[in-house]
Amino acid sequence: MGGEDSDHSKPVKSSITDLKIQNIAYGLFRAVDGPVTYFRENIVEPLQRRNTSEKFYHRQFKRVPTIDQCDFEDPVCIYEADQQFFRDKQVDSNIVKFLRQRMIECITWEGPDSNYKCRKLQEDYETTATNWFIKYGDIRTHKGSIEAYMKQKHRLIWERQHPDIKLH
Amino acid sequence: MVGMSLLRPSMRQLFIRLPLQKKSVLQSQISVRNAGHERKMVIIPTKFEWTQFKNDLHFYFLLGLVPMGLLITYANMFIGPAELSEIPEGYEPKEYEYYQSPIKRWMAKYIFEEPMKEYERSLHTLHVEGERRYWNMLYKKVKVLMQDRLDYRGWYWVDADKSIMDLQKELKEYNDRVIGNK
Repeated sequence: MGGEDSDHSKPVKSSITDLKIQNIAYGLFRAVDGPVTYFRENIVEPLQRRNTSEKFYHRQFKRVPTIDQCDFEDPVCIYEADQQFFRDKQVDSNIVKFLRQRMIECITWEGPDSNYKCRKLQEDYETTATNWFIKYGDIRTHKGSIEAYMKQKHRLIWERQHPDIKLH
Repeated sequence: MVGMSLLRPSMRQLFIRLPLQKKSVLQSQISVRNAGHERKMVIIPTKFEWTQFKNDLHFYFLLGLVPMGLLITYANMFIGPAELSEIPEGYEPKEYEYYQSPIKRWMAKYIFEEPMKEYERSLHTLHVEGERRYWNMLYKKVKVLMQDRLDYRGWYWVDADKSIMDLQKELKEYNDRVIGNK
């Protein structure tokens, strides 16, 4: 994703002032970063490497029955389904967030070329965001599993009653 | 003061810095008031903000930043963060093994309650309250129907606690066995 245009004309030769400014910038960066990196690599990491006996894991949640498999007015099943729904919503929100970030980074990097260089990322993000809004849009945060279920039911009924109109 | 007592009593008063009596202009002994001092109000610019600043600096720095900084430095340098690894087969990780920072692990071990326990406890509460709600609603429904239709003589049935009667029955049987009634 570097902006290298090798099939265009050769790049313009940079004047000496550009190099000086670049060196000054690098110098400033190294002045701040040098001591910190030295401290971390030579003092902290050997100490930490001596005590690597502890591990940590990612928490795995088991799948519980969703709201459509619950009895009517069964508070335990509904609560578990709500919690699972909230966790799934967090996962999906993060997926959308990462795709959005990728698209924004591509656009910022490419600049004027972003219209045709970042097309795929833009389309991916738009479809994912649309799907997210279909499933989770306009619904409460914590107790939303019943509302999401009803929303899906109403949408399917509406689509069945209006077969000619495409929603998205 | 021992040396002073050798002098004559009248001379004693000349050498004491705060005499109790002196000779006045009219040649009589009057009492000297050695209390009080020269009354002055010294007008200086305020030192309130400077003192407050020093107070706050010492408070937040010496009681807050320094101890916490030392603790965090010790925890991260000498104990170090944990490594991420796969969960082994058939192993149930303990609650504190889900965190990376050593301080969070310590807190999860000794201070906080496991989220799983809280989850199960809330599930239990929901179950109990749901059952209670179900029976209450059924009772109300039956009562309303009996009032409407007046076809069932349940209106004189009173709920009683069966455990008291069970206890009394047990006591009676025990007594009978002891006494020998058949």
